[in-house]
Amino acid sequence: MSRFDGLRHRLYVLFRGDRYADEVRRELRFHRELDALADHGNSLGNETYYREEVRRMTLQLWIDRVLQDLTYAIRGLRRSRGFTAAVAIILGLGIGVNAAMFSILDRVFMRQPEGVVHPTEIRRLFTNVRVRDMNGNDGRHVSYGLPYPYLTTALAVADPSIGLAAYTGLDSILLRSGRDRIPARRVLVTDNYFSTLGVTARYGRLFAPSEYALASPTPLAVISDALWERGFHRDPSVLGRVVKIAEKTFTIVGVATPGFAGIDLDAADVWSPANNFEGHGTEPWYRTFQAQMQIFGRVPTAAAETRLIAATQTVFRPMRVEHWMQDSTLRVVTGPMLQALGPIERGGDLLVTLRIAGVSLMVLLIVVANVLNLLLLRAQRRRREIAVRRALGVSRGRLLHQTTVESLLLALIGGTIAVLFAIWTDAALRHVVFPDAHWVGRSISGRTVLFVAALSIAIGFVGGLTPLLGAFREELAGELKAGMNNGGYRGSRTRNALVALQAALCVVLLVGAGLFARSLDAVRGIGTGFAGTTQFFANAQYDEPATHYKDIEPVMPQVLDRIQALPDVEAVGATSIAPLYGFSWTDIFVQGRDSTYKLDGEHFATVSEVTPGFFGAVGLRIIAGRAFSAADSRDAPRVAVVSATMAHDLWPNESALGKCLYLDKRDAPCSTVIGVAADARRMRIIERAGSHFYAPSAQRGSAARTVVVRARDGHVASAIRETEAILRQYLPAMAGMRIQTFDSLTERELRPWRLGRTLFMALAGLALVVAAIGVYAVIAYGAAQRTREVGIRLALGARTADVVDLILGDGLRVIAIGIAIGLGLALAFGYTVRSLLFGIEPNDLSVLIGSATILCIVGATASLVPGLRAARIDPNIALRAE
Amino acid sequence: MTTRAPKSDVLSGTLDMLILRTLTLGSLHGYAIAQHIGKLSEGVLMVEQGSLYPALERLLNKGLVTVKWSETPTKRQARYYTITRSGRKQLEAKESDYDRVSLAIARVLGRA
Repeated sequence: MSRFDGLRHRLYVLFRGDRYADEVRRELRFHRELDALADHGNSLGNETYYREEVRRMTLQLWIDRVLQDLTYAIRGLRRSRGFTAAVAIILGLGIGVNAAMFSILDRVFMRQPEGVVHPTEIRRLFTNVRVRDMNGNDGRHVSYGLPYPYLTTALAVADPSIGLAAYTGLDSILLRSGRDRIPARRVLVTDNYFSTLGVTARYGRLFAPSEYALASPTPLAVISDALWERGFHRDPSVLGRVVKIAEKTFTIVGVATPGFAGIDLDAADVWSPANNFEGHGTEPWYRTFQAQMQIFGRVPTAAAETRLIAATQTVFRPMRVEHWMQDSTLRVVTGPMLQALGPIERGGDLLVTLRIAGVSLMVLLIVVANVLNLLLLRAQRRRREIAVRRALGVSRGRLLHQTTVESLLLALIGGTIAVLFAIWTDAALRHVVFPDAHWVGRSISGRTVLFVAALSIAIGFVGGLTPLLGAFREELAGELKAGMNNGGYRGSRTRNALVALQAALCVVLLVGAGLFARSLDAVRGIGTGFAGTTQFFANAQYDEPATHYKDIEPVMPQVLDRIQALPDVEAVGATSIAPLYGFSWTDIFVQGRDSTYKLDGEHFATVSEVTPGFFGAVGLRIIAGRAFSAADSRDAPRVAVVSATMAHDLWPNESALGKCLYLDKRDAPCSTVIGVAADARRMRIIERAGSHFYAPSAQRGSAARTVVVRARDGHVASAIRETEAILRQYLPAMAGMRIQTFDSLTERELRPWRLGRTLFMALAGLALVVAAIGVYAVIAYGAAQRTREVGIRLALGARTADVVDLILGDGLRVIAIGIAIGLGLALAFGYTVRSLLFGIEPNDLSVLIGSATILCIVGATASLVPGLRAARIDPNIALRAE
Repeated sequence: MTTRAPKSDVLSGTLDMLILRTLTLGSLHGYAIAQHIGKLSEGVLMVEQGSLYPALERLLNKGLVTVKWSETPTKRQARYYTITRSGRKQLEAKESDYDRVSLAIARVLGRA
């Protein structure tokens, strides 16, 4: 163990330095004394030298040296404050953007929900099933929501020790406590929910087993610690407090473990037993497919997981076959508690975010290139100082040590700014990326801070190596003899390469921003088929559908009249199903066609039952024929309006007008097609135009109970308020109301592109600023180097333009090279995001040219400023300058 | 600060070797090491404190020797140095190096 003997000795000297020095003194005294006895007298040697030697060999010296270098670095940085601030801020922004991105990814992919015991043991249950989209195409879909009967059967076959539990999706609610209205999110849970997760009550209690009995609602609630704080200011009397949720009263019985906010990204604040689920119909809700439960269990081993999958799949399959088009392909799959890591298809916004995280690394690269450049320039400016120190015997190693300490110090200052910046941007970024999520906990985790620290230190070390890139190469003697501006211009290949790199990456970012912006425009351009931006729908919600019809039908005409009379309303109508929100279909039969025209492959027609005012209110154009009128009453001949696609599909080469549709059954009376409407989207902007038709609600016997309103421009908010008031007045028994603007319905779908555009633009903007600083610094340095040359040229009669040309020429050439490389990179990059684009190819010429142009302008501006300054110099001063 | 060049590479290397060889006799304090080397070389190699102790420190740092306070036969406290296993290995290597070099020198000088 001799190696450790040496180490032990070094550590002993380091930590017990005083004691060791004392030992050394005693040893020397002993030696001297023996020497004196032997009367040699000639072997005194040099004690001080020995002591110094001992010291030199120790770690202590290393520490001394670091401290010394630190002092030196601080002094140096304080002397050049502008440089320090520029580098620290650039680094801070670059690292900060990455830290914020990291923080988001950390949350989505790494941070386990708080308050859960052994979170990795929790496994979610999903089913992978065959589905058919509204265009009639078959596909597969992994779904996390399973109807309650699935849970019942799963519980019957699963090992009880797994503690299979389930909860309903998050519901945004308004908790009314006295006069307070507290927005919160509620989850309904089954009996194993808390025990399986290992969540306990921090205050009060959780629900008793009997309180989970399915047959009757138990109006109890457990709230989160966060809600206790936010809504009740930690008032101990919260237990037993009666609150109202959606017009029902609940009693709060407990506060959950601090930090616990459910197991989704979106934080839950209120838990109630699942028996509070509001089903409709005569069958109890837990025997129907109404409640979509998310099922999970604590599965400790892989073997248990395999057994669980096998057992549940066996019982789920027959249920699926029975209930959904004989689909016998159901597979049970499991996934971790973190949804983003599970088998569910990732949403567009998450995909965009992942790409953006990659892109923010690009910004980091730009930043590092820039900082290296600034460090290089600084080293160049200090050439003489370095030469003097070299001449005084300071070794290269020592200088390298010093520059490393300095750049580490800079990087750590940058890192500190980064953390502050990240804390600030994290909230903003979260809002942009996941506006619906209500995340719990601190915004910046310890992991993020570690990430910043690691990144800063790495950058610090890279920065410390800059002198290797050329600052030390110059010959000592030459440096000492020459003045700073000895007339020669030192072009630096490294410097130019770094500028070119920045330019190239900026082009990539700009192209990314351009591609996403154009995609957004393209999607918007398609539109929904409904003209205008001021439409919204309002829907009265009832607990009992039976009261629904009874309540609404008789008053609907008055309601529509009242709304129509509002000054803020342009048009109003009613429909059986809210546009862009849902769809329904019915069997139809057409003469000359054997098969029923219904949910069968391509032949799938959806229907809306509407009032005459509907078409005007939603902004749907009638292409041929006419819309409905009041004359199309219950007793009048049946009529229908078909969509353009349906008309073309059924009667390809003739006019649809006057043709007959038989609705519901083959022997129904003929509904004459009296009009053809433009195609409108049913659920999404990007969907294939499908067959859709409209029938007068008066003739269909079902109430058109969704009110569709077109507000006057700029009066949407007030129109919504007034519409709501009228509905409340006429329908006092309703349980709640859903009002949504058409824009908000498509917002979700547009979000990935909006997100891509926003983030790319922000990052590109940041990168441009950083790169501009870099270009400016390099050009300004070059100009300063050539002060004397410029002076001579001016003295010899050069014009300003010539000098600007001279100074700018280099910079612009480098930028041009960077742009060329960048365009190549952008093409490669474009193909990696291609699947996220819409209606635009990654090689779109206008985007590429636009990006290059922007960069040219920024580069030229950043160069022009120092160029002009150089040209304005007084030749007299320039020639006299050192 | 630069690494100051040792007084002489050959000398310091040789001194290390002499010390290690001396310590194969057993644990000795610094003075005894110097005396032993002096005696065996018949007074030609006089090891000064200023060379001896830095050399010992170097050997300690490399883990080739260890040190411990012990009592001398005259009941005084002194630091006793002991060669370690890797010290012995190192000694072997150094001795064979030295043999090769000294033979080579002798050949060059025409004495072998």
